[in-house]
Amino acid sequence: MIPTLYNITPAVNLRAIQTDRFKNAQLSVSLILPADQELSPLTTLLFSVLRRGTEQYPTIKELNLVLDMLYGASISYRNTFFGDSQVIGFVLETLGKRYLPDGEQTDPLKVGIGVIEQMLFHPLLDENGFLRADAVQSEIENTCDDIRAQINDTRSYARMRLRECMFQGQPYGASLVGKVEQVQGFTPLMLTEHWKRILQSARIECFYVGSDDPAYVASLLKNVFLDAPTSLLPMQDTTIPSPRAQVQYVDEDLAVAQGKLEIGFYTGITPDHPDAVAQSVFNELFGGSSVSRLFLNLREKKSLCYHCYSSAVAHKGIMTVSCGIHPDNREIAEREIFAELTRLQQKAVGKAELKMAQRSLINALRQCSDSPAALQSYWFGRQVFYGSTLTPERCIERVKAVTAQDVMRASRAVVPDTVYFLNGTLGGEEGDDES
Amino acid sequence: MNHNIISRTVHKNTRLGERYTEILHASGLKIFVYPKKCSSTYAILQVGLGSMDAEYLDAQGNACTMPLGTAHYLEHKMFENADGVNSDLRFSALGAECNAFTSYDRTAYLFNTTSNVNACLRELLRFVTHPYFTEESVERERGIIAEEIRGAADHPWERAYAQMIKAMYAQHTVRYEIAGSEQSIAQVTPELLYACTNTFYLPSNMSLAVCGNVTPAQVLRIVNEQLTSAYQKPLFAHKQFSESACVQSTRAVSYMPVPKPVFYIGLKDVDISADPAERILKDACMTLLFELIFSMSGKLCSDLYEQGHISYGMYYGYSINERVATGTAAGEAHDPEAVYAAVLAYIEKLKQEGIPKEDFERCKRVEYGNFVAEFDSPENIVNMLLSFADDGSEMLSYPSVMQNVTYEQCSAYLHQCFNEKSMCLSVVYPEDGQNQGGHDHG
Repeated sequence: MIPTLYNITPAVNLRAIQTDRFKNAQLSVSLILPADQELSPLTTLLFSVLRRGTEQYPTIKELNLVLDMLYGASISYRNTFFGDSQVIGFVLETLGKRYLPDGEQTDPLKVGIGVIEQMLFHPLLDENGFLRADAVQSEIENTCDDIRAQINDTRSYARMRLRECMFQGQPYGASLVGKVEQVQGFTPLMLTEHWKRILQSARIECFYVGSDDPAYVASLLKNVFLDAPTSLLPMQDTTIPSPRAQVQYVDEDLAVAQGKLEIGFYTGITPDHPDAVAQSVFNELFGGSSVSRLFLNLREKKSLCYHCYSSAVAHKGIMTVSCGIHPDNREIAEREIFAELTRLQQKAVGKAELKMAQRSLINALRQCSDSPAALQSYWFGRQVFYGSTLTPERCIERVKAVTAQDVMRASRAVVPDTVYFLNGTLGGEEGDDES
Repeated sequence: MNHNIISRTVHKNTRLGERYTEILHASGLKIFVYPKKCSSTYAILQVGLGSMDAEYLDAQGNACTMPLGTAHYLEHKMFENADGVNSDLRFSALGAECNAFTSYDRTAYLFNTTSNVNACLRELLRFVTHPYFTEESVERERGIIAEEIRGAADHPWERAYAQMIKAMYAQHTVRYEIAGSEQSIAQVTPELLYACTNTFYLPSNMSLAVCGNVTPAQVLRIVNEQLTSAYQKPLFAHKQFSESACVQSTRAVSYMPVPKPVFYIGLKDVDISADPAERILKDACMTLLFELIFSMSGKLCSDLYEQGHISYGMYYGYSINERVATGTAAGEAHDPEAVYAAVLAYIEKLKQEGIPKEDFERCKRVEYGNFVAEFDSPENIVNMLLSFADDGSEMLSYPSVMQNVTYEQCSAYLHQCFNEKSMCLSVVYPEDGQNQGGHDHG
């Protein structure tokens, strides 16, 4: 089923899938902004401040209480890059009306949308009309803590560092949260002006999956966005870069036991590229599944690592390989990863192996309709950034049609750009676990 | 009546529109079949062997031990087959994803598929009941598991949890890490793994739960085909531990390159009823209490956040089964000691002034909503169903248990379980603060 599109205002779209299959409904409200070294962290901080309190719900406690009373409804916070765009906003999850206890009159969707409206348009302001200095200061401190805490998860830290190194100085190399010194320089005035500016210029994309009539959801949203802007920031076109002439090597040390090797490749294959589906099949074969070359060779055969996988970041036309290894195994792991890539580029895969990769992808595509979140994750980027109407069913047909030659062609588009290694300097020491 | 069935029960909840069938198979296998309209079918075959079984009693009642991490090592090796074709590959050829995990009390093998359900069920039942280990393959796995252990050791949250549980329990095997240590897994051999499957991997110590595009008859047919041996009673018993109600140490501390301290608050509960109905009631009450104390809608944590003491939101929960019961609340704070003092003071205040009635009602609503929300995912259904069934309860009856929890019952558990002597604070501090004194090591 292709989502139905409602133009709420010239700047606000709703895409909706009506289904009574689920007990929950999910509605996301996202602002689409250009990724930017300076402004993306400012937007991120702004959204932390917006959830500190509103005119109707002045404290965090009250904001959470109103959701609790809707039988544990939740509003989570969404913040990510899609190619060169920042997608930031709120995701509301509520029980469908049918599953509320008998006699319950409140409509959780309506109240939940009201909470989102409060946070976006009616945050608490001081007497001068600025976002409150105490809330801003406190969120600056929290954000700085989050930035410093990025090293707590070495796997995602290494991934982030790879992206920063690959795209230094470019929008895609921006950080969602920014750097400590940068965030400490943000002021209530900057945030207030930025808040007003983005509400007047951002494109807003809403996505609904649930049992309510989409026309009803659209009418609720129309009330929220009555004064939405008519002059829009242009949508950021994602630039698809070309690889550097010589592979860039970046090594950094951290006092942990396990090293993290991250390799970034350019593919130039975005979701609207003719080889997009072949590229997905290639990724399954290379390192995207537990029967992939990387998993079977590096982990199962050579015992080099616990995790080793590849991911295609189609929105930016890149691919990455991630691997957790003993620091002593760095060179051999890197050599083996490149060797597997070369093998796939030089020799067509056999029928059985290809079939397995296709089945694995098809299995994942069939599951797209099994939850509101999966439906949204399949459609959101495709629709918003590419206007694609390719249903999971038609995508499955395309996967089935991919040949070994197609895969080889897709593999040859994979060109290494950056090798990042987070060296675990405690690698040689014995653990102090009790035995 | 199928002669391969010992008993068969249909469970339903008409309010939620949910139902499933429970079957006790002649082999001793417990089967749960949950037909649901969705694209995928999710199944778990679980074995009652977890890291806690590192110490157990054999059929004669003799105390036995195995190296720490054996159950987890076994889980890794079960996918190997005599013909050299790994079960991972077999599931992939069927278009399915398979995986496995080991917890404190069980080992679970699972698949998720949108096609070939029968063949997947056959393979799941076959490979978990047909161990095949060689010196060479067991040796090869050691490096992989060692990397898994090292990766986890770099994780401050895992470290904080591990040292918390050690501080709480003096003897109980729940205190050991699931994957063991690099030293303990060095002792794992094919012979040990075979001894382990011979003792624990019997149908009478297994449960199969399937949710999705399936019928009870379909699942039963495949079980009949795969499990033909007669009922064999379990060859082991769980070791009983006499743990004090008090934690072993009220503090556990370590240092890592973290920028902000990570903490876990642990609550040890040794008052575990032998009656599953009492345990499920206690579970409901304690879950409400943790929600009431630690959620951002409560006064304690929203104040702590607004005053800059904690990062947004804490992770909290309580779990109970017949072997162990614990509650935890975790977060990040610059001064975990101050947060812990505030938590203890808040609990004391609740005890003295009583739980606010509106908080009690609010938490009941949250728990109802959270429970219903699980039913959109076959994976969540299977996991939840098994965790209730393992402890002798029935999942679909939970909303009425929760509904019937009284304010007085909840208050009684607050007084009974939330005592400072049964609680501890575990912190992973930044390394540069290593010279701060005053903490004893757990």
